[in-house]
Amino acid sequence: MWRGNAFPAVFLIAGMVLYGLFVSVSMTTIADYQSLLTDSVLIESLTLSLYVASSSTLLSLGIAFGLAQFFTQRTGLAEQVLALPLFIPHLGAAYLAILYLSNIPVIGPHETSHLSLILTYIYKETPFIFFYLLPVFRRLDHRYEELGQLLGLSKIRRFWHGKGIFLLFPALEASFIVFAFVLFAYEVPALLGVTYPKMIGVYVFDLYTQGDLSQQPTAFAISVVLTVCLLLILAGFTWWIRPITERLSKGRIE
Amino acid sequence: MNRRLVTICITGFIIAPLVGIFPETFTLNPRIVETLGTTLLMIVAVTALNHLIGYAAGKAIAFQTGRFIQIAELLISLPLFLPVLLLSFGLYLTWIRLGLADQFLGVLLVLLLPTLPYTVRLYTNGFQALGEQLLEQTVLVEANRWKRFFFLVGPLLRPTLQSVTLLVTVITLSQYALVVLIGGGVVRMLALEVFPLYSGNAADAAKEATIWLIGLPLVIHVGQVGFFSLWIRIVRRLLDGRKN
Repeated sequence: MWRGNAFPAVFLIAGMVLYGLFVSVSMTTIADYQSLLTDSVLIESLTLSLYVASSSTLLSLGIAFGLAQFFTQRTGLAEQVLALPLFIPHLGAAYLAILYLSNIPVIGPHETSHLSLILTYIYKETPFIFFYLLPVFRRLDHRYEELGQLLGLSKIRRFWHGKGIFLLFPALEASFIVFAFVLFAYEVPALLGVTYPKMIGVYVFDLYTQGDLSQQPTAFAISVVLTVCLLLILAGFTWWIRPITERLSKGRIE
Repeated sequence: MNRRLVTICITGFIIAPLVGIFPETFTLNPRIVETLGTTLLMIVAVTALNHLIGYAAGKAIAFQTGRFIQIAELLISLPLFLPVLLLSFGLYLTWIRLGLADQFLGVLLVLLLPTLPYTVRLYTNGFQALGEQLLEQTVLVEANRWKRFFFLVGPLLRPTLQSVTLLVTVITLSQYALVVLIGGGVVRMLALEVFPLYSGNAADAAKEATIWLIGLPLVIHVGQVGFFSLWIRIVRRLLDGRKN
């Protein structure tokens, strides 16, 4: 049997990502990075992006977690309805916010609370995390929790030892994907965000495309710094958290 | 928790917002119609490439073992965790040098970044769900690999194949910034017409655009469901020798 071939995918993806990074680095000088340290607009933009990304991720994760637990033992129409937002492109979801929330104070688009943005992401990302976690929930062995009951563990410890340790890594992984996606998104924040401060994706993209040529090294420098930061988090994730979670969930019967 | 209550809540929150998007009058916006050719061609090309490359990579990750494949899996999922849009600034400069900037092919290649990692994941899960033993048995049943795909592996992988097409279509349609940057406004796709409409004041035009944006994936999905039903019906007929 042919066992597949990962080379074309690796070549294309790693090639484009790493070469893009390499070109970005080559377009900058040390001075560009030094000027970033005192860039207050960048700091404000980053703070805003972190607020939007983390609140969208945490809320979506919470809702999706509850729903996945609820649907572990049952199926039904509601599960299929949950797949509906997956059909809707992010642009379309942003329009739903413009359409319905425009006249509402505080949560409407172009408000500093950015709640319309967060609600749009909850609408789009909850189903994503739900369908990411549902198979994991369904594969869980309920006998662990029964054993916990037999041993007289508290409800919380029973959940942690029976389910939590198996769900930890998939939940973290799904959250990381959503977090990084929201953090650097352009389309939705460009439509729903305020003029100042902008989300980081919008800020850097506008800097690159609308500013004059002298702004471009700054845009490249920000891209490099952000990419390296995310690479470091990813490395920590792969070589530090993953071994821990694997050790925790070892010994399960497949 | 009450099951009916949860169902009503989910249905309400998800379906209710979709009720209001239908415009009172629907006219074909000529600017949108003009982009449909490029948009559909791009969707077909991106989807085809995703299936080809993703199938091979997903199978490799599911069934190969060793250090290389672990690193390959990590490298393939890089775009899920990194700012693809920001890295494409650097790619754009390279594309200019290679003559790919403002070209269909250049945009096609860059669109693989936000789509291919998901495709590979879906294929990996699909192959893992089938399992190595089942696939090795299919080799005993049918030696020709094309026939094997047509009769056995394809129909078995139907959920994966459908999810990949759907997901790739939706992601491709949603890309505004990447297409503007790499396509330079020359490669005109649906998002390029829709985006300005959303920031403008023409409510009906925006609603029409939304119909296209949500309708296209739906139509494509209905089409592929029909395609797979037909495929499986043909397979059954060929194997049974009688009509079902």
